[in-house]
Amino acid sequence: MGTAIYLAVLLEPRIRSTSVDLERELLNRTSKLNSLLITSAAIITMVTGFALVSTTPGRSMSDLGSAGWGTMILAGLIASVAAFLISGWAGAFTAKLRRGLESGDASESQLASYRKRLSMLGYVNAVLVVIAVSTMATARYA
Amino acid sequence: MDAEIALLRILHILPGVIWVGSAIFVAWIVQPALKKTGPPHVGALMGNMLKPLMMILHGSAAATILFGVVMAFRVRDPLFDYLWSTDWGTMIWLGFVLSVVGWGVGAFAGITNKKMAGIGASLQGPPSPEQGAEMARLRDRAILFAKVGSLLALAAVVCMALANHV
Repeated sequence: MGTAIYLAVLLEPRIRSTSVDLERELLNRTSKLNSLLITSAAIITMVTGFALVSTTPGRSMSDLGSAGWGTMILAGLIASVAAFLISGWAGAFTAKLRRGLESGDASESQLASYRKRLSMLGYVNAVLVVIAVSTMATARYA
Repeated sequence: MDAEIALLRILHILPGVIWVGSAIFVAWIVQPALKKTGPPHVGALMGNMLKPLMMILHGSAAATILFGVVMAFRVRDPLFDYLWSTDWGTMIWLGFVLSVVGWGVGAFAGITNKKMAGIGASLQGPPSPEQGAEMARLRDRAILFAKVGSLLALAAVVCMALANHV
């Protein structure tokens, strides 16, 4: 989550405002490792989350959506799955942008469109993970 | 709903995940990538990014620790009896110490990066061999501090997460 927010709010806008050369170099060096980090962290978080729901005394998957706790956990689950999908979508645009910058085949308008969509997806992803963490953190007290 | 505890948990956990996630990302992915990329663009990016990065890291670390301390006082009363006599207390004070030390080590990384950015900003042309060597030394030291700080913060998260279950 920290990585997603850091990328969307701080790193990507500043890289773009520095230079295209730097953007190309950093995308080449970080995009695959970054995707691996975010994807594996998201999968571990969701799988262990399911395991925790199943093993928590007095709770089960059938409680999802019912009463305060179940509603909050379900809302967190939906937000985290949506964030995961959006993060994958953003990864696809990052790959397109990286290939476009590397080959020089993409037009300026195409590159601008990739950047704009990446920016928007990054912010949506950051908002969704904030919702997911907040609902999960407060579920016990709902 | 116990609204006060729920709010304190959000104010503790949300900045906590931002702090630890950003610290790990910066230490293990961004800084090593910038090291490989090298001049001339890295100096401009660091000059552009260092201040907001430090604000995010220090702000989220301070909020995490502050609201964590407030929450500890609210969930166990009297807190200090629990801290020294229970497994929960041991994990909480251990997590607290690790988080403060991790924050401090991370702050050293920021100070070292600032010194490096200062040398970069003072250059009129390409750096002399001595200036280049000094910048490389500061950069490597900042990466090391950032990595150690991020691991300490991660260890703090592990202690806090396990506190209710030991």
